[in-house]
Amino acid sequence: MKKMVEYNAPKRDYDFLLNEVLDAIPIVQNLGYSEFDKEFLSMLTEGWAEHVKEVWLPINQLGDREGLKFNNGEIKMPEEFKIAYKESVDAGWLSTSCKTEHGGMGVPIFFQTVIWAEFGTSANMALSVLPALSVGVYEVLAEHGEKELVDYFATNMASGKWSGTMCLTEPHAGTDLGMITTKAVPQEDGTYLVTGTKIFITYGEHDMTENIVHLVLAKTPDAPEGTRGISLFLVPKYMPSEWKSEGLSGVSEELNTQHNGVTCSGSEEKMGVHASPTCVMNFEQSRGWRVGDLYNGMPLMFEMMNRERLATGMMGIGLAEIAYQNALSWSKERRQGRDINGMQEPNEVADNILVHPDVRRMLLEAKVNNEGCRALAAWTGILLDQSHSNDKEEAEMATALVALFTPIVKAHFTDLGCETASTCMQVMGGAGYCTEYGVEQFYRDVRISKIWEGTNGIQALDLAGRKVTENLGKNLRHLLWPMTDFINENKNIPEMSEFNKPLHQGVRGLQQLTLLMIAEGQANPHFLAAGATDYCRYFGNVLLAYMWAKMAKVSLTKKGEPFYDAKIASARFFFKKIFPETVGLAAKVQAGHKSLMDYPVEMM
Amino acid sequence: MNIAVLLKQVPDTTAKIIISEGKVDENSVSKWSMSPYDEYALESGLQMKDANNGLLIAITCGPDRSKKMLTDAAAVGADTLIHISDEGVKDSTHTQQLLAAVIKKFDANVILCGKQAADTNGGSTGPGVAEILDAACVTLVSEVSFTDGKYITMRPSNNGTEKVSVDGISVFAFDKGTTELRRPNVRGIMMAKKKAIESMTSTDLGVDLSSSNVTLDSQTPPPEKAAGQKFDGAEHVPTVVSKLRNEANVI
Repeated sequence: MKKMVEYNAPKRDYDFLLNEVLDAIPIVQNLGYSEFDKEFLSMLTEGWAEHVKEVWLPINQLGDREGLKFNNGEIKMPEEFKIAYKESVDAGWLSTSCKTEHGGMGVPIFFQTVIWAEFGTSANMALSVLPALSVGVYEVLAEHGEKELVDYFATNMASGKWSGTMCLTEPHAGTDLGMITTKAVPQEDGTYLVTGTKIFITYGEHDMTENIVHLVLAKTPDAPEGTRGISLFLVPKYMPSEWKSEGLSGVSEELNTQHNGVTCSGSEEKMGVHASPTCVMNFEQSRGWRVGDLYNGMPLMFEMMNRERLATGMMGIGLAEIAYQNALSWSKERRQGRDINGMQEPNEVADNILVHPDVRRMLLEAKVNNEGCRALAAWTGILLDQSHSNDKEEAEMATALVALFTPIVKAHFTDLGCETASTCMQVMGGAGYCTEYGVEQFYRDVRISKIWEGTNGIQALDLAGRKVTENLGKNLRHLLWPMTDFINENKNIPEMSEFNKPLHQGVRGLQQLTLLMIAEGQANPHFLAAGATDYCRYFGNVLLAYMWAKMAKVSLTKKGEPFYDAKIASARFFFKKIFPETVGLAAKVQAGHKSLMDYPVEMM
Repeated sequence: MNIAVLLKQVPDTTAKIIISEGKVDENSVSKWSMSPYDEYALESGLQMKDANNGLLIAITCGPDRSKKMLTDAAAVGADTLIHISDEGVKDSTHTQQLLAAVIKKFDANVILCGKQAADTNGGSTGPGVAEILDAACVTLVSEVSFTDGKYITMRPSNNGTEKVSVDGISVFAFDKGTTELRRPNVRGIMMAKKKAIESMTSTDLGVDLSSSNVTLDSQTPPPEKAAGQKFDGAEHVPTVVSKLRNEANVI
């Protein structure tokens, strides 16, 4: 039963979510994307789905097996990756959300953040990371860079001709960036010379683009201690050959052949994403420019980091989706055992494994969580667009919700992504563990997403300790108001009660748990920290419940069509077989920190 | 060089077709696509356009929904998009007359189309249009190029492949080729979105659709297949073997 890895991008699901559940088109048209309509969205979605299927997917297994070659400070990528990347650059697929003045396509942000990210990571996670990072660097640069810096770098960053990285971590400073020692010494011409070592730099070195633009966190000589003293610098691998101290205006694109003191001294061997370089980068008197104000490095890096956190969350869905599709297609052909209620196909040697309740449980958990997460992702993507609205109220609401959702999208989606990839392997039994079926690669590749861009433990702390309480609790209110309205609207609709009632309980539970976390957490921060991960998962489940109730509501009006009947059945499965885990999660949060912190360390 | 490519929108080959009242229920078709043979005609037209700095006119005759296919053609490089309303069209000669009128209007030098549509499989459009235009017509081609004033094309022959060259206004009907079809890129999609589709009716084109020489006398669905015979258990082996030998003549 040898099979090729299959993938069909969930275009219909996005059509449903964006056009029927979230009504995205009028929202973004109102934001100024006047020409962005349903047909255009469908062409972009179909075009990108086809591109990744034809260009990215066929080299995904090759990338995993061949990986990259590190030799003498240089990283060579598989030749097939270079060809595929160039094809994507030439076709303009890497710059959909970049500004038109920089050669981008200027389409709403949600396309790149959600649809682009999901399809791209499903088809080839290792490759998708490069453009995702580059767009992040582009955005920080375009938003905060000096004009001459933007003029010189933005266009080539937007197109993907040059790529970008974010350089935060140092050997002794990861989560705690206040301890970084990389130095940036100001020069008379306004540039800086940057010296230091950064580790875990994704695509820090490679041969897919002519230049690599690093955004480096560093401290100037008299900077204050801790994170308050950190500034952000743009340091290219190769300097423009015509650059002289007068600045960048009028300087041609031609680059020096000698690097700018930027070298790669190592590349990590990893569990997965073998074709995505993870580099140790050394900066030795490397010339760079400051981006944004002095000592304002952390907020700027967090701007990029927040976008990358959403992108990482999308990796959870992307890998879970392709794992599900392959496990499902395998299951449909696999015969083992008999239906314990009586055999279904007596003429066959065995029944198809979909007769077994436990196989169905695994596949439906995968499908229903994927679709629920996709709905929340689509909403978050639209909110990202709305956060740039000129209407102050709309922008404030959207900014608050994006802040609140970011740690949940990152942590809950990647936790589920890892669980789903594992479950899908389980569905396939021994075949799932074997390389040729592809699912074991997805399992290994997706695992990093729980660690990247701030571990999921950090995300949970960010949610419980910061996002819920900051802004005087407004973030949460912007969510609770519409959820409460929705629950009240549907209270007296009999068909909705199987979804609305548990949602109502979940929302009430969330309010109680939040108050408990704040009150007990103020008295003892250990209480908050001990419950943060369970609280984050509880919150994630409530958001998915809200999404499923909304999807069910739309689908109930179109009963009789298989797509909508399946949505109603999925919503039912979610509320009956997934959502009840919130009861256990609430109990764990309430149990507090004592059983952890009183445990004798010497006996661990 | 003006290159006309004739396109037809058909139910996607993967879409489920539901027959109701003896006809395909169009509302039940979940996805409409460009007929696959037409895709090869379009690709060849685009290559000819690139090589000769030509103008590619994509033409379809059909209901309003078929405009979407013209936008898809623009996304890969069609320059001018013409939609002819199929209102009043009673038979395929009407369609050919309408298409020929547009081709004349745009002074097309060469006309490319699929050898047949994937839904009706009639195969009359290319030859029919050629007849009206008094043009040369080569069918079942897989590639066409323009060199020294002649169109050179390859088509299968009785004992391999034959190379045919024609000049003057010519019609080529495409089979599936080995050429890789281009995929739309983002810029193409952006441009296509802004590209206007010119709509024309039979009146605009001066084509009279009032009479038709063709009448559909009757339509009969294929006869239902008789049910197969089922045997369960080893005791039936001699009967099955005998039936396979004497009735089915397969052993």
